[in-house]
Amino acid sequence: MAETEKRIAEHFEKPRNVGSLPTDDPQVGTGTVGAPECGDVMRLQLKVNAEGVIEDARFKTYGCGSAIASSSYVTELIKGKTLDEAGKVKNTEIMEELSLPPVKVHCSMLAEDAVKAAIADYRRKKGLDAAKD
Amino acid sequence: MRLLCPRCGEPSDLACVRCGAAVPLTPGADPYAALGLAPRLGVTAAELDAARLERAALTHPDRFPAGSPDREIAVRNATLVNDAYRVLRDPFERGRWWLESRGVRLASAGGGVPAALADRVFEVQEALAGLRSRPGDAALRTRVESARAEVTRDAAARTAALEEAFRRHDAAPGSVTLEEIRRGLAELKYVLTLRERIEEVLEA
Repeated sequence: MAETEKRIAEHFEKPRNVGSLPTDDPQVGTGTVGAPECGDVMRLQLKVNAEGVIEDARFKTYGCGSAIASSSYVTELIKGKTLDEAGKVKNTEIMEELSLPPVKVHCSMLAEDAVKAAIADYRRKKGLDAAKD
Repeated sequence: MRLLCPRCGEPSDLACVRCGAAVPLTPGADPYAALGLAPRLGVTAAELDAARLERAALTHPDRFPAGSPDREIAVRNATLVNDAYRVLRDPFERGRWWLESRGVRLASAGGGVPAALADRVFEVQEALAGLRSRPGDAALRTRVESARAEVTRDAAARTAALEEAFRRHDAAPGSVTLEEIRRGLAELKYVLTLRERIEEVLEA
């Protein structure tokens, strides 16, 4: 239990994968999403390798601690996943993992939306059908 | 909403037309009723200003003897009239009240904003983060200042578009859905919040 709590705290205090990837790299998908009710904005980028697996993910979030922790956790979560698998990530998973209170549900939604937007951007770049989402 | 005079039972509003007693408004009631206006989303600033003046005169505490129960009612009424005016005079607050009184929450799930707006907010937030850590960076400050001007113009344009949508909604409610209005308000709120953040950084 103590280990889990430490892991959660890390996403809040020392978020992982903060930064950016080159937007014009054809292997990189970028998703920028906003939450009008609180003013937060989140940019999530993923890099897909030749096997169609996400090999790297970065984010920059301007917002509350929960939004930052949600993006930190979700970038860890999608690394090593295929796009289809990553597209199935649900905000409820993020809520549970980070023990977010119900008022922070929109932070986890934002992270889910950012992953979807980044996948859609990657597929658009590749001329793939994005309608699957 | 028809109110009755508590003293003589005459249907009256704010001040009894028969006996002159103060007639209490219901706290938390419809702000349009508090201002004696028919509910219209596109009510104009001039209409609101005129209504407030008229209502303020009717419920002015000086109309009633000091220390009397009528005076207390009048003081409460005057507060309710002012609160209602504040809500309706601001197009954003008016729109939000209108939606919420119809069971539509501004922050309804799956909201989000168009990608172009999120991109723009992201760029400005990046510049703000830069200026926070390097307050002496003149080029960055100039960029943030021009962002402030642009965001201010954007907020004004969005407000004008909303007011136009309000009027269309009044003329033919089916022509503009509450969801369209909700989205317009949410995006305006996003832009207004961004402007607040810009002000905070520029004034720091």
